[in-house]
Amino acid sequence: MSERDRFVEKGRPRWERLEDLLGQVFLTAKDWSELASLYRGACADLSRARSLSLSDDVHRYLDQLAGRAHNRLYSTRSGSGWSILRMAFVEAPAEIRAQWRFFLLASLLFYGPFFAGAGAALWDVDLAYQILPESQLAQMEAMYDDPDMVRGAGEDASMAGFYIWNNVGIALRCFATGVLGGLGSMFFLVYNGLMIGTVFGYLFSVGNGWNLLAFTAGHSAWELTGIVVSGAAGLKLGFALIVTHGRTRAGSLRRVAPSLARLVLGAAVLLFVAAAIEGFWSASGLWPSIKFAFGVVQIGIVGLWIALVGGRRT
Amino acid sequence: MDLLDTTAAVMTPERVRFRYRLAGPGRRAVAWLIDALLRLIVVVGVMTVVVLLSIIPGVGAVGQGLFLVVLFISEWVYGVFFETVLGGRTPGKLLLSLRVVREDGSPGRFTDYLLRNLVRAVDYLPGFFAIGLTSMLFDRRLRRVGDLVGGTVVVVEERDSVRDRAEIQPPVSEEERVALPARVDLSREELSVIELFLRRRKRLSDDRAEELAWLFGPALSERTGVTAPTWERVLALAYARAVGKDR
Repeated sequence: MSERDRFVEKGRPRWERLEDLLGQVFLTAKDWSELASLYRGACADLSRARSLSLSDDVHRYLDQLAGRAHNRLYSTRSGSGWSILRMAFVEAPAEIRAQWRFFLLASLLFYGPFFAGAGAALWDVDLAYQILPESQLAQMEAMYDDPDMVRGAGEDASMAGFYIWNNVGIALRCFATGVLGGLGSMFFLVYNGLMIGTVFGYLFSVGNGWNLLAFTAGHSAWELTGIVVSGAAGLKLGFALIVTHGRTRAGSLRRVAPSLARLVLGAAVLLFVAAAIEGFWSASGLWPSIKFAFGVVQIGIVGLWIALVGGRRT
Repeated sequence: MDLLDTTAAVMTPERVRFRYRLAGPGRRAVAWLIDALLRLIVVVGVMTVVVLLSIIPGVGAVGQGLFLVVLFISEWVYGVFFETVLGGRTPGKLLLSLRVVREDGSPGRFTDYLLRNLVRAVDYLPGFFAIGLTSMLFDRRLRRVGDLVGGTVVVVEERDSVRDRAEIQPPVSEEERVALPARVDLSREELSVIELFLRRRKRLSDDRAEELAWLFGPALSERTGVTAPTWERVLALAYARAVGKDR
């Protein structure tokens, strides 16, 4: 019997027990402690196999065994539900404050084209047709022709679903494309700002503006801020790729990753609330004055959330 | 994390290094397809239920909303959810023994999974995962853009076995034993190489085995004076004499 065979003979019962444990989906407390001690045993065996330079297959076997045990043992449930909710609702606003430069830049990239589009359409309706196709504008005009566009309850739910799928999806893409040096996010911000602004300006110049404003009053604070925050996250991502402060690009990304995650979760929160309000409130037949008052309250809530929640973040 | 070919070594808190095999695009694509299929089944299932229920007035529109939420979940939440709950694995990765870990080999965290899954939207672009594949092609650790942002690598958790024994088949015959030189000295590495070859022999075709044996056989034969009809047999006989298994 070679040295290798003796080594394997001796270790195999323990290794096989470890394999057994790794194969199980659920482990009891006793299993976990057994797993931990068997893992340390396998690590010791691996070191010994190296120092004895036993044959390569023993190395390989112990490598994968120790590797699997290591992953199983150390992949504790890092993201518990609470910590994720905390990140989204408490840490996100603090992060937005900490990243105020990117938030400001994203705001400029969004609201600049927004007001440019709105101003152009108000000044001369024909300019609106240069920005958006006539058919689309006519469709918008028809949609907000009726001051109280009441929908059935079922339709509300259907629209809320649509807003989640469409609007949140767009915001997440706006963030993700920031990895292209920030260009993707810039495009999303400018494009959406210009579109939305043009529609507003156009509807005001044809006389349906107040209907649109009443409809959007409730959710716009949440939605527009959500778009800007996702854009800010994308810009930060792109910036980290370009200005690395002497790190490797990957290292630079690593450094901003936690901040990006918080910003994106914050944007998601804002857009989910927006979708819920837009689906279930905005199209209700309430008086416009109530909707405007509600909208002012929403602006207050979003403002306070961003200004106060979460304490200081360094 | 040291790099050798497509394996990466990791230093654990126990001060032991072990190696991971990095997962290539092929294997990851298969895992992705399995996940895509699962998502499709769920989405189509929900759609069927929604269509069936839409006969009841008022329910149809609610169903539509629900369907769109399911679509959103399948596109944006599926990956993060499973990787967070299953320690870096989606059902597809589980089936192909893949796992997402951090670059230093430590287990991934929620934020890592979140970022790598969101940025997949860019890896898809402009179609057929073109950006993701290009990134994997140029990155030594086979990372797609999402992995670069999330700080993760995808590794293969191989299952291996040490059950195979080094056997000499057929056993050394009397004639062969007599023809062998009285002494064959093999270094430790040489012994270990031949042993590994004999262990793997059962899983190799005859032609492949001879092809492998040819790499070492001629040099060995010349040095030790062992001769046999095939190179494979040269290795086996030299090994048998060196460790005393020829009796």
